[in-house]
Amino acid sequence: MEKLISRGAEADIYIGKWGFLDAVYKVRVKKPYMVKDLDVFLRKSRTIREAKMLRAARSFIPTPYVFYVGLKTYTIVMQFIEGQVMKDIIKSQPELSYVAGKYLAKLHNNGIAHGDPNTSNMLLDIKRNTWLMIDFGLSYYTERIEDYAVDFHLFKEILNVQHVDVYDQALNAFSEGYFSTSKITKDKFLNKVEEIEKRGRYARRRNFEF
Amino acid sequence: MIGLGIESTAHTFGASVISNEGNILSNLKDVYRPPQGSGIHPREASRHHSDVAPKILKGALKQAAVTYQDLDFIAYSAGPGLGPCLRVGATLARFISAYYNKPLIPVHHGVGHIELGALLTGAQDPLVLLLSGGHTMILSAQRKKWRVFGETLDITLGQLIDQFGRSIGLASPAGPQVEALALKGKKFIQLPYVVKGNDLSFSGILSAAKKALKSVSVEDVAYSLQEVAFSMLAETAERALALTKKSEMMVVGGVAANKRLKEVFENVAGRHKSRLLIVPPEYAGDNGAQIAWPGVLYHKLGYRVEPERAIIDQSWRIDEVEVPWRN
Repeated sequence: MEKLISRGAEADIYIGKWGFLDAVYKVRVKKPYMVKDLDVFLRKSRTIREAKMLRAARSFIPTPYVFYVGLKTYTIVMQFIEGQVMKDIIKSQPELSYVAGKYLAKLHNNGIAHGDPNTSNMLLDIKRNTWLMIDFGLSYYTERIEDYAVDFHLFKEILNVQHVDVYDQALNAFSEGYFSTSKITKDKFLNKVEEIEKRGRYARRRNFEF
Repeated sequence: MIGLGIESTAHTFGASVISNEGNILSNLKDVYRPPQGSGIHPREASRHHSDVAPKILKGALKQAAVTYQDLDFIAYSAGPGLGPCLRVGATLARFISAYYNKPLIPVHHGVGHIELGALLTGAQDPLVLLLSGGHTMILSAQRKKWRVFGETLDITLGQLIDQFGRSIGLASPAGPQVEALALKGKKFIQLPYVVKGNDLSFSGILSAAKKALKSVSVEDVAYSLQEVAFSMLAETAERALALTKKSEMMVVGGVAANKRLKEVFENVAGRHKSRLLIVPPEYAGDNGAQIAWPGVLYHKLGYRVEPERAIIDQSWRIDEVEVPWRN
């Protein structure tokens, strides 16, 4: 029987078996607060999208292997990885975010935006000593630099709120990893990121000197 | 210790006298109402503020039974907001401060919503949803700043509702009327649901909703607009709760008064074993107490500015504001 190990924003994660293999069951659960049409639409489209994109991304970066997609139960069964998420170890090793930058650039080079890149979606496979990228429910094909810049901004945002203590080092490493691999020139790309950040409300950076 | 807070960010001119312990001794306000179908005209709003300021200030002091001499500080909303409106409050605050020789304290409007919310709900270390006309943000306090977990990439939730309301001829702020229309809606129509990581985009909903009005009843559009927008916000809040495991979730700002929103967030909080705290409706909208209370918190720590340096900033970003009482 599967065992619930975590409750995320949109899915419950169980650990169980698929045949004789250890497996993760990612189940997109019903949201009681949501209108039924919207709830069904989101669960279905994201399940399909995630399964499809996990496979597509696998050509470029390590992602878990998908065993089965259950469209009636909104479930993806995938390879179980014994590991740690970047979120839990970045504090002592901020340079780890280099690999997140590198993976993100690889996706972008191949026309994929992740849609939700953060330190909880980077998983270290302890046995193989390899990083994997997970959670592709918001990812999509795109050729627009703007979409890639949003991805970059989202990761920055997470560092600023989740990893304040190591923000500078982690951002530097992330940026270094990204531009080590990206096909887009650094200045052009960072200008786009800045443009997006300014588009948000109240972008002025200043403070009162008390 | 008692202090005066002056709020004049947008459509509201408010003044409040508050004690050291957070007893709100008075909290008066007067709201500028633009003509139906149009938004706030900054100049007209600032004129309104100048007109009502003497009455509101006098009233606030009288109700609290104090005089200007009794005050320990003057706090004013320094931004973000509409320049002409902010200037009315700042000018008055500088004058009172200089004339009576009282410390002057600039307060960020958004920080005001949050800290007053925390005072009134008893929240200690909440995940905050700041939903006012100018902000749609999810925040948590860390290392003396309110840090942004997620926010809108274009217009705010308040603007979405208000601009939709105006497009159907309602007067601004149109929130309560749109909410009433939504209650009568039955048929759900799909509108652009745009969540990017922890960030949101509402501008697509606004365009699609206006377009839908040609073929769908206004009640159904209002209903669908609220459902889609609130669901998007709920999803990002769930993400933030799942990541931070905060035991409290607090909703502040004008949109916090919406009953459907409350229902949605009660459910969200319950799913993540977090306690939902919502600022009382009478303090949800802009008011003087949201400026006066952070004034107390700053004053206790000796923060103040000289009147000649007491500027305003229309685009002052919340995660740049020092909040030394939050660790």
